[in-house]
Amino acid sequence: MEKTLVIEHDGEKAVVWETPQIFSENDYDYEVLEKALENTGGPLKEWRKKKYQEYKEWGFPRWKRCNLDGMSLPELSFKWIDLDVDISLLERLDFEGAHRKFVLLGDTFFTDFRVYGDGKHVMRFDGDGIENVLVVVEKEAEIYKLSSTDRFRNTVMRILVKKNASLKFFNLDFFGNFSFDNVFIVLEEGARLVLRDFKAFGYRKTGHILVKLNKSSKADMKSFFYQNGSGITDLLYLMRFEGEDAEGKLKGNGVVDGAGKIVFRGILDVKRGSKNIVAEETEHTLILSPNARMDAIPSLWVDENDVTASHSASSSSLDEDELFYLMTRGVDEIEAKKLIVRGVFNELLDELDESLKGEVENVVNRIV
Amino acid sequence: MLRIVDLHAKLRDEDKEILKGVNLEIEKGEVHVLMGPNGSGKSTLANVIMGNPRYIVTEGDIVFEGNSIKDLPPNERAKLGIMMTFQNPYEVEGVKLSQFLITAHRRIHGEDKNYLELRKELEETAEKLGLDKDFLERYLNVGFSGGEKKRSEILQSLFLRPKLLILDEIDSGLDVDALRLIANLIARLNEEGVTLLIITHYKRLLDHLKRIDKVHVYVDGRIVTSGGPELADEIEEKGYSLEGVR
Amino acid sequence: MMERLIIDDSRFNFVPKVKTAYKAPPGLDEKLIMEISRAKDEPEWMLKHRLESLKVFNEWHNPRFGVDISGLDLGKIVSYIKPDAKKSTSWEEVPEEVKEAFDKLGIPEAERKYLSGVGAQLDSEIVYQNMKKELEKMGVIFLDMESAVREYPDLVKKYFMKLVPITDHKFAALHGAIWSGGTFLYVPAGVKIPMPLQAYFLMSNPGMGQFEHTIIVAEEGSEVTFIEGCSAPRYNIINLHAGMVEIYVKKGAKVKYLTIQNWSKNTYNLNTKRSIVDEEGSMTWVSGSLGSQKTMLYPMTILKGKGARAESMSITYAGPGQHMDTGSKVVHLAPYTSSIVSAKSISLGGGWAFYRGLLKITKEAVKSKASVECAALMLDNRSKSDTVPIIEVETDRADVGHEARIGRIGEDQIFYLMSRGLSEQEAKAMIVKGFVEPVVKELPFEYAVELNKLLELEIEKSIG
Repeated sequence: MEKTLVIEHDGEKAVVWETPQIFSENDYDYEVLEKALENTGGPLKEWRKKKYQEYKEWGFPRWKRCNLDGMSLPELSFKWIDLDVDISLLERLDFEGAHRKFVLLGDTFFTDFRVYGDGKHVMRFDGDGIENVLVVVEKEAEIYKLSSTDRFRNTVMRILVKKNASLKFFNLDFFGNFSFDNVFIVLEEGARLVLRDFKAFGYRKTGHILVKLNKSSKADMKSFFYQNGSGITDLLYLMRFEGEDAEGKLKGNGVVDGAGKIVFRGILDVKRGSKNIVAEETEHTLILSPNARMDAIPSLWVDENDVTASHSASSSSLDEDELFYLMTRGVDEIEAKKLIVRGVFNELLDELDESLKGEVENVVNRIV
Repeated sequence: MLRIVDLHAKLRDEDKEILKGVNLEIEKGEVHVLMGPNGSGKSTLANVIMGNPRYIVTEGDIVFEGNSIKDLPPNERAKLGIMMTFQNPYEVEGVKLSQFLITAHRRIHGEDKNYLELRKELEETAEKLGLDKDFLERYLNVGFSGGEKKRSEILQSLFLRPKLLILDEIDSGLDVDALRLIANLIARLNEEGVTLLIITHYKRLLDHLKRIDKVHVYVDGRIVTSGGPELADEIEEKGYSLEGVR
Repeated sequence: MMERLIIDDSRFNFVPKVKTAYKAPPGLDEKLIMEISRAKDEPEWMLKHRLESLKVFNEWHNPRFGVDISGLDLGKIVSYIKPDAKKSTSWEEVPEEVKEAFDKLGIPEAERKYLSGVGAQLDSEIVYQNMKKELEKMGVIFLDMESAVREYPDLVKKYFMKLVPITDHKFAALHGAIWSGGTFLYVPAGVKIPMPLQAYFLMSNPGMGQFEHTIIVAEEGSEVTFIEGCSAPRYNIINLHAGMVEIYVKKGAKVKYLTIQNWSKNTYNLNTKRSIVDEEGSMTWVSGSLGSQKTMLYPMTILKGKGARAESMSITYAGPGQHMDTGSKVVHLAPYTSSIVSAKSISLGGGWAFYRGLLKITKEAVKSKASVECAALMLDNRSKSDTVPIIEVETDRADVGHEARIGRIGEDQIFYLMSRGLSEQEAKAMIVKGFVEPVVKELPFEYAVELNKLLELEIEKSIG
């Protein structure tokens, strides 16, 4: 299982913060599992059972920066699922996710299971749900995941991009009271990934994307985020370098307004032996209101000296000069602000193809 | 003074051969010019002569003043009196130009002169290049403009007084005045006995030099033809493709 | 119908994964504390404070982040802190590598003995006496901590462990119970002390300094620079250094605190340094962490008043067998405050340099500016360098930036320097020295020289 935090060196271990767990009587129990099993055929049936054994040993996390008070687990309805899924692959690509509980939740109680290969695929997840997705890219794939959540969503996605294959992945995640997005991507030798992640609104939204870069692979990731009201979005992007000549770039750009809060954790983890890699991470947040908050934790863990690794994080308010410039071209202050904020997300909109652009644009319009 | 005999070299980490049998002979006090199209690898030759560990010599030899130097580390070559100006000199944070140069001078020329003497010499040399004392206190190449970097390299050449000076595209990025200044200084160095190997692909610098002994044309890892100063004029008119065909 | 998963405190179940917290070793009890307090002739309030601290120490959890302290043996402390205990080591007990370093650094005999706790204090009596007279004329109080507790009890009580309470963390509590030695420096309003004051003037006991408590109070408009430690290796027979520094910078005052630590390789250096700065005041920390096996050190500055400024510059060196967890913390609580953090680390030979930082800009800190720059140099492939800065911004009107880079000495850089006649070792040494130069130039000359020599030694050892 791929662990997120590995802080040790030559047998020397550092003390790592352990998240306290919360156990509740209202957690899903064996009764709910039975209902799920009744509706499952094929190898996934055993998989659910096995995962439940682990699931019940874990509690939900009591997080410091993104507290989950008031969270309810939805009542689940299961439809019949019988897929011939390669279970060994699921095991191979097992990971911790935002918190182990959520990955186990997704593996035990999924209400929908999707398997994708090459080609273009569009997934739409609405309302509430627990979705589990497995993607194996042999040559080339383009995947769009659009989630528009009501009260609760937990997604678990395992993606394997095989040798020299390439994947373009647009991950769009909007609204929802509580939503958890757990993604694990393995890039084999020479594989290429273009990832665009956009998370907007929502009360408590968690994103966790871990990318493993093997030799000569390339990851080009851009993260866009918006939060307002009293919402908190907690994002983690981890690029783990496990091979030479790989290249990983992460650019985060977002806006926070109202009394919203963004937590941005950009981690570059360079394992020994990853010579000649390029690791870069930059993040910038535009803070629009006095009650808005940003926590940035850009981390560099480097165990290989033959690398170039850098990161930077910054935050700022609206640039007065920029506002002034726009206003001298006839735009009023409010218009000008909208233009600047829109500008942050334009980069993403420009990359979307027509069919989805409209939907995403609607969301951006709600921002400005 | 310098004899390069059938020199073959490749990048240490790859298999591609970059120097494919270079032959060159430079007598003491001469001024040789190496010209070639962009990307022909002229800098590589300079780097190999200087001993850049990125390159390995696979065949042939480099002989300086009668001794083979191809297995010597760069600082030993510097002590023998070979120096190369870098096209893009590296920035070294926190190391003052003055402190560095004085240390280098001692390594190359021994410890005879004391700090104050060397310091004075350095300041006088800097003045010739229009550089003031503050410049000497800046960190080695950090934040230097293109022109400043070139002048810093020339300053080093003047101060460290090598026997053989290899100038790698010293003229790129210089304005008319700077070019003239540097050309004059180079010429003066030569008059004082320093042997020069000038690498360039423009004629501009050469117009300011009084003495040019030989011009070589370097294409695709080898010197394909050599001649007198007129060769430079021909290239200016007809370009390099003519040479490649010949 | 929605089922509610209620997450509230009344149904709170922890699955305990708590490792046993450190308990005080046998002998470290109330009786010993009272003995110590009595021997120091302390007022009642200090004894009470010590006892309270001991209680907290026994109950508090271990630090939840940082270096692995399971190898820490507190047993040795007990006999050491007993009032009548033998405080000095014998020359035979001093490890070879320390003796070697003394040799190479050319440290004179008397100093060697002093630094290894073998001999009595340095022959700096005379120097100190003269300075003392000058300072007294200015109204400056510059005493060892124990004397200050006796002679100026009210003044000390006002400031002692107010900035770092005993509940701050487990080792703050330990410190509160067994602290010994240290400096009390009080600078009256408007007084600007022209020369830097050094801690070792006041060391009354050889080998002491493990649990020293230093308080600096700079009243309005005053200025002082204080130097603690030295770059020569310090050897101790007990392996824990849990000192504490509290600095109060009042309105418009300026304090600069320099530390060079080179504890021997058996030491756990768990130090706490904190400063609080009032309106327009300024605090500068300059730290060089070279020695010890494990270090946890995060000088912290709280910018409480409008326009307060903080600057923190540090070099951390992590050599073979060392795990250095260092960083800085800055909290902006008021408008127009500014902070600059520059942290550089060098790791080689398997060393692990871990930068941990906190930068917090609260709602009230409008129009503030903060920048953090971390640079890490990895000299070989056996070491590790991590950077984990936490930046928390709670206002829209602040300028915050952080950047970090990790890398090695470029081959090209080495070639460039070698082509000018330097040997490979000299080239590497020059680059490393250049890397730390911005911090070194803040140090008084002798320290700078020693520090450079030390770095050269380390590089020689690793390359040679």
